[in-house]
Amino acid sequence: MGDIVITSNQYIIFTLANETMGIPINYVREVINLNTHNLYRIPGSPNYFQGVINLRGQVIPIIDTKRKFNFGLNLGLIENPKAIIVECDKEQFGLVVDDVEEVAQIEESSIELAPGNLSISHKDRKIGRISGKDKEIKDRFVFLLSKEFLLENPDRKNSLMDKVLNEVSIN
Amino acid sequence: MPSSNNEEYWDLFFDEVNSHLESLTQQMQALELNPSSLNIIREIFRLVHTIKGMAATIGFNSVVKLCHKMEELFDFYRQNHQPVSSQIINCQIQATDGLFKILEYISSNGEDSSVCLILAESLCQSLQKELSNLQKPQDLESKPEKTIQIKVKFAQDCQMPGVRAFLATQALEKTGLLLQSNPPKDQFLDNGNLVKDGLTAVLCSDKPLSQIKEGLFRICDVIEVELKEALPEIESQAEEISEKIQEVREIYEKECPVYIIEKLTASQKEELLKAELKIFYVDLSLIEEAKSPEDQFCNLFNNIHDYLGQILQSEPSLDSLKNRQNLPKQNIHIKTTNNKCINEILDQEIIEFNARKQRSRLQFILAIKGDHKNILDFLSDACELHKVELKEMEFIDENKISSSDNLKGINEPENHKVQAENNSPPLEDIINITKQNDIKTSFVRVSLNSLDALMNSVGELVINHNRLKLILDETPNNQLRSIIQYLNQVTTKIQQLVMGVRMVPISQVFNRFPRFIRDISRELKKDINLVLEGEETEIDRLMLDELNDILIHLIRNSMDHGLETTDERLKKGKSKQGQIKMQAHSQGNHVFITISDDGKGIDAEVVKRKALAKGLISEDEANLLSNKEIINLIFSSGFSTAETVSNLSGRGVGMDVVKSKINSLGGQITLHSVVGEGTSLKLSIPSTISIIQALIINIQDGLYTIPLSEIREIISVEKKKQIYRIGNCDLLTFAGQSIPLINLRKYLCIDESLNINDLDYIPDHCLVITINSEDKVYGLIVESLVGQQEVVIKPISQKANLKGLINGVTVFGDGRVAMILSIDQIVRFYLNNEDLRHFGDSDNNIDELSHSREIN
Amino acid sequence: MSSQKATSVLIVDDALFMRTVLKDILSKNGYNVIGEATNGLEAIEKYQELKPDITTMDITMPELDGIEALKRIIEINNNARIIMCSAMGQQGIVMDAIKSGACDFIVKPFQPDRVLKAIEKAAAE
Repeated sequence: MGDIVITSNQYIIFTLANETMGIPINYVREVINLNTHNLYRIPGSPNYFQGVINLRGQVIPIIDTKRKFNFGLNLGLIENPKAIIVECDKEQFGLVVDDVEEVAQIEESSIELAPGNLSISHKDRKIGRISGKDKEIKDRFVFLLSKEFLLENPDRKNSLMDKVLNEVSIN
Repeated sequence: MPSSNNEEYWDLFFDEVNSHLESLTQQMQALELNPSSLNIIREIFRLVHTIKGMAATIGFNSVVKLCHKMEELFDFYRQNHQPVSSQIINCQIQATDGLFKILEYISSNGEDSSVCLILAESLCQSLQKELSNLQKPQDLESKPEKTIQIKVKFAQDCQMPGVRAFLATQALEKTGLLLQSNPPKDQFLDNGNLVKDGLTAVLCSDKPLSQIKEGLFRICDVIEVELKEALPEIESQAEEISEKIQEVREIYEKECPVYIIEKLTASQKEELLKAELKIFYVDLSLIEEAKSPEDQFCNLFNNIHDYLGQILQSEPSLDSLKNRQNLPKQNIHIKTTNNKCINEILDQEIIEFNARKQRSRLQFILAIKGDHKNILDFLSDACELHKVELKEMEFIDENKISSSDNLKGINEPENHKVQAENNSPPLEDIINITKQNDIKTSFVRVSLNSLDALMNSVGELVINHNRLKLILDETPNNQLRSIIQYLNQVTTKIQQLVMGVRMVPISQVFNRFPRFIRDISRELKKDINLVLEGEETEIDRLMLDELNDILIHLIRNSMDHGLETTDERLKKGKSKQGQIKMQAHSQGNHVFITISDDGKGIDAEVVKRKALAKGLISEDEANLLSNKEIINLIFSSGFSTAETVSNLSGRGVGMDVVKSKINSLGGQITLHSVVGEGTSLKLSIPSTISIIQALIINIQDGLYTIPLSEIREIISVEKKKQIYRIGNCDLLTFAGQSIPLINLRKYLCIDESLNINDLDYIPDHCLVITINSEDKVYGLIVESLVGQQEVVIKPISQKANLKGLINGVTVFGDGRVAMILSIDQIVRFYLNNEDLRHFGDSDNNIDELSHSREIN
Repeated sequence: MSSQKATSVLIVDDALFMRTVLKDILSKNGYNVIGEATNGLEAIEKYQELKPDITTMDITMPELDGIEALKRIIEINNNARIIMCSAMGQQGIVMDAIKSGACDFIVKPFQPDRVLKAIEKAAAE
């Protein structure tokens, strides 16, 4: 498994601090319940790494997604956080999310570039349209995370923060 | 070129050919140092010959052409024992380069084009010129030596007879030129049992017989020595014989299938058509020393039937194979070398050889659903394959050949024969799988991936073994204990074997450098001598691959910036020849590589000026830095000291890249330079990435491990008596030494509120682990020890381990995870007094972010 | 043997047991065991210090193995007479040792007559 990357238009849709986001299903290995795993700190890691877990003998670093996105720390504790285990460039990471909603099909045609003034930003920021949960809301938008986001250099100079600020001033 | 259909074998071909080319380059280098070594000449001949054969098979004619000419030249030397002139070596090295280029061209362009042919042609011409020059003066050498036939017998209970025989050949080589030994050296080195009955040899020597005899008797277990002075012709006869044998072999090898397969019956044919099966003609032969080919073939038949497809016809047939199965085994080696019957023996040998050859050959027609690859994979697993030819056959439309009274069901291999006779390019569908008999190359290629997988599984095995041990501790049980002990032994053994497989001598990289330096030094017009030391040091294969580029970079730096030109050196009163030294040695879990030159060294002032000019440091900062610190600025990004940018180095990818690469491998680089005397760079790299003995420690309820190899000792310390504070540094006095103490809590960022400048954080009684880092001793304060055990190092993502404080993580039997500390890196942070807390936070920007969001 | 000065031997082996066995065999037969070393590094030191006529060298040792120690001693003295002590099945390693300059080898478990023969031959060189 994992060797052949099948490009599909399927995304795992999850929520994170009131935002709805999606990640291509190609990168996703599984979704786990984070509470059932012990976290071990990694000394000298950037602070958005919560630590590592032992997932059936494999050691997987867990990324505090909110911290990585600079969502702020006072968003309240999530009772039962999940982690989406993703694999890119032969490395596996866990992304902490509030909840996982569904697997959705998002066609290429309904994906567009995100406006610059949104709360998260990365090189390849894109949003997609999926059908809403309720019947009243027909469409809703989700941020689509790309591989580039996962591999982004966490160096402060190039941090998301700066980019956001840059874009803010440009806009 | 009809090579397009062969593409599926290209990977295999290039992979193998490249390794041959590498050996070839090495051998050329060796020849340059030792131009009269017949062994090297033979080895080169063999290599070129192999490449030629492979290229011919796959249809790269330019390669074949060039190889052939190279071979011809070496053949001359092989037969006329004289040292190879440096001019010819140069010529051959150029030709080798040409081979590299041609193959590179082919591999990137996908075809053997006229460009390659032109290059090959021009190289051939210069080789031919040398060859004709050589052939002109046929000076006849006089041979004052006599040829001696020697027979040595070893004691019946002799241990390691192979080594004894080797000692014997060694003793003989001391007294003269060893023309041949029977069995040949490469065979008994591999299989000592071959010399159980003794060893015969032909020696060319001017020493008295008694002296030779004495030398042999000095070897333990030698119980009988027989020396006979042979007639002078024997030498030439021996040569003649071996040549004749070779000739017969070659003829035989070239010979095309003589066997014609019967026509298929109409019903067979119909069946095949219906089932959409492909038909292959397979002609295979086993390796020469294959044991009982009949057995192998019978098995092969069964297996093919079970797994592959249907054998329609075969020669010999299965029945005749079964009947022949119980034939007595034939002996492979010539036993006597009596002068008189030498021709009889020769004839006998040829007959036997042919018989053997015939016995180890099988032709059949196979109907399967798969393709070439399936058959090849299957065959190479199923028997000791030497060579196989495959040809896919097509059904011929019967209507079109209606005139023929022999209704041919299939296009028979006769065509194939005709083609070969016409000297047409090698058949598309043929592949040779040649197994090397040479001891030096008797290895199996294993892909790194499967090695890694194996290593991983071994890691799991170790983890599970530790789990079992844990259970045993809880519920003691003697039966279980003995099983676990045995399991332990086996696990350890497997571990060692796998690790052993991964380890390769560093010479594989080092050996590329003499050539590299030779070429570049000409280009730079600098006279450079390269000294290699410790090439046998072993290192993990993965590491080795990574090291290559790093070393090339460093060596280039030394050559380009470090060493002066000859004129400069002479002016400074240095020797004309500059020296670069590459040394390697291993210690504990690390391999140390030092690259030093006796060049001009690094001038701190120049570095400082550059750094200021490039804005890397400010004037104030510069004044605070020591010379050593300034020199280390060359490791910062965007630094390059070259006054002139040459095409070798100084292209902007500087030492910073090298440094981060080494760090990412878990290694370090340090630099030492004295102006006017030279520069030396020391790399320390973990020799492996797998399993180590480690001490497990506890710090604030977290488990950490320290590689045992890093630890000097563990001291129990009483704070009041032994720990002193000087400035903000705590020192431990122990055995007359003052040891700086490192508070791991601080560097592992465990307790963010901890005031580390407070002595109170150290308990009244504590344990201190002393370690060595860069020749200094440091102490690590530890709360308690948990134990010592073997741990499997699992890599951790570089992104999570940005500061390199850990070398990896490990999982214990009970599922707990512990970090493996990188002691050197912790010491480095300690020395830089770097505060790692809050690292990676976007500081106060979080507030700003929400602020900016509001604005929008 | 009595008329000449006894041949001096340095024993290198990490196992005390092995050293004792060898020492017993040698001293009972008139050889002078002048030193013992427990690893390769120590072996090199002792070799330089004691200059023994013959050194017996175990192959598998901590710190520095026998092969490496052999190479370094040969570097110091090209004529050093070193006998490798190998276990069964280490033919490849023994071959390496011989190529690197060892003059002979003995195979564990030690048989006194074989050991003595090897030492005798080495002493006669």
